[in-house]
Amino acid sequence: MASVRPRPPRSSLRIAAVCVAMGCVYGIANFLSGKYYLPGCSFAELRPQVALPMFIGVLYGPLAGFATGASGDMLGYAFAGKGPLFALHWSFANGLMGLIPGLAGRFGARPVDSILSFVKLLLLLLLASALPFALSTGVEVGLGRVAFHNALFSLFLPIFITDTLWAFMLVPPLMQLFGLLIARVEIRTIQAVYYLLIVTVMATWLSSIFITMRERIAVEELYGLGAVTLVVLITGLAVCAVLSKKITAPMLGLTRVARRVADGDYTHVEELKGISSRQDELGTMAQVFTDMLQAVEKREKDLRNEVTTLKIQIDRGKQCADLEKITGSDYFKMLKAKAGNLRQKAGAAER
Amino acid sequence: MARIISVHSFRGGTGKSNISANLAAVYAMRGARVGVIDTDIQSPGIHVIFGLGEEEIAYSLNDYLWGRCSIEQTACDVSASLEGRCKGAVYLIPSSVNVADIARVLHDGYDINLLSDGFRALIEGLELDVLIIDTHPGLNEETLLSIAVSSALLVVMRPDYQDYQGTALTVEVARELEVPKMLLVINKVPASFDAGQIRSTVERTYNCPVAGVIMHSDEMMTLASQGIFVVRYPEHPVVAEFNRMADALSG
Repeated sequence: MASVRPRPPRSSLRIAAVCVAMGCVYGIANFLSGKYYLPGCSFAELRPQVALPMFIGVLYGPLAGFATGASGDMLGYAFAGKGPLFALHWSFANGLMGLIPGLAGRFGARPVDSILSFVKLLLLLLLASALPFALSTGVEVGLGRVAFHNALFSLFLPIFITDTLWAFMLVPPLMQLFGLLIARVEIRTIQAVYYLLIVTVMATWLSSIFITMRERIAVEELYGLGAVTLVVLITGLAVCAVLSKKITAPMLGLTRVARRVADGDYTHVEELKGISSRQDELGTMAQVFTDMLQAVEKREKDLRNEVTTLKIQIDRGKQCADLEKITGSDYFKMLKAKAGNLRQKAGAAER
Repeated sequence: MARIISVHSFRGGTGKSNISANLAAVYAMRGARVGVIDTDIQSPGIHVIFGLGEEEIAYSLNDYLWGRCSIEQTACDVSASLEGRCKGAVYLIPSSVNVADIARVLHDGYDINLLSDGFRALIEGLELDVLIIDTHPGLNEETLLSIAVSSALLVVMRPDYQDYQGTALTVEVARELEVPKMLLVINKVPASFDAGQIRSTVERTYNCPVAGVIMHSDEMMTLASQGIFVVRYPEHPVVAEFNRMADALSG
């Protein structure tokens, strides 16, 4: 609800304080999830906290996102007793994970008010889950600490797949809470299907993890399956976006034309032809709307033609009779006789 | 050269008082000493436009007509209402807004010859360059007198069927009285009209030159007579129209 929407602080000092606090929350959550992760699978699966630096990035910009992600990761190591500088390349990657969604404002994804901006936001979240950890995993391989095959299946894919899912699931609702996701019809049409897809995929993914643990299925198969699920999710979202656009685009077209008509411009009514040729309810609506606009335009034109030409009708017979009544009075005759004299008197007063 | 300009309309509500006040302001801003006399004794109102409160009126035109004071004593200096832009002076001779005074005029009448003497005394006493008479609508005796003594008559009309017939009668009566200069002004013209078309239609119909076409403006409606338009909105297109009217009337 708009009235109880939390208001993000504005001054840079307050933003810094929020970043530090959120960094601590992220650090503690990292420490806990690092300590108690599910046996038999990667530590990465249960890290919903990745949404936090990403959201701080969207809220306050790339720098704040970076600070939250990097400081939180270092704090996690510190809480675990390893010292904050334990793995600088991973801390840097966590920082980047907050920085990339921070570019939302620059790419037209903040605020989210259309399907296009929603898709842009998801692309940024996908990038934030992939690029930084591809880099840090690459560093591990480069340093010879882990073989490429293991790095791919035990490090990169678990992080990429689960971070993407958590980000997709948590960042949009947080943005909505802070008024950065505007519930236009466009967004509403996509939202229901969007969460249904995410929850389904999340459930499938987590159940496959448990099955893997019980049946001792190879980790390659699990993450291969994970990658496929992610592709399915993204395809599903893309199809959903295209279908929603098909519903909302005509409404936006109608709105655009209506706004022009409000300004007195009827030249864009032709644009509705494409919409009114549809066989569905929107087509009917566009047809009715077009008919209405044509009728209004005609009426307006008729009215304008009526009033712009001034017509004056005078009853000359009545005028003569009235004139006779006034000029025939004794007073008028006296006045007329004196008028010249009176004017002369006034003239004498003229300086 | 002092001039007596009567501003008249056959019907009320045409904006006669507003036009009188704005014309007075235009002349005074050019440096003239201007008198404005409210002869609409039965429904006075122009004092509001000049921001003159009822309590500030010591003597009104009624007092002069009933022999209680001289005409000069009724003149109020309202130059301050031009907000520092007055290069000459503006004097207002208000009518009484007292209900009993208005009733007495309606009942008893007055010696209208005093009016013409008053006009002359004002011009002499206040050394006026221009005297603008804001008349009573219709064609009663004091209005006919005002028209008879004027060197110029400005007839105000609206593009409204209520005004057409009466304006024609006024124009003919003024012709009978041989007013040296008669001009028409069309006021409160809706924006959908074409000013040029209106001007030519009116000039053709009444066989009388049109000095100005004043289009309806939201600013003027919003001002609602609480000030002088040409002073408040010096950049508004209507101001140019008032200046042209002032030129035509004094030329």
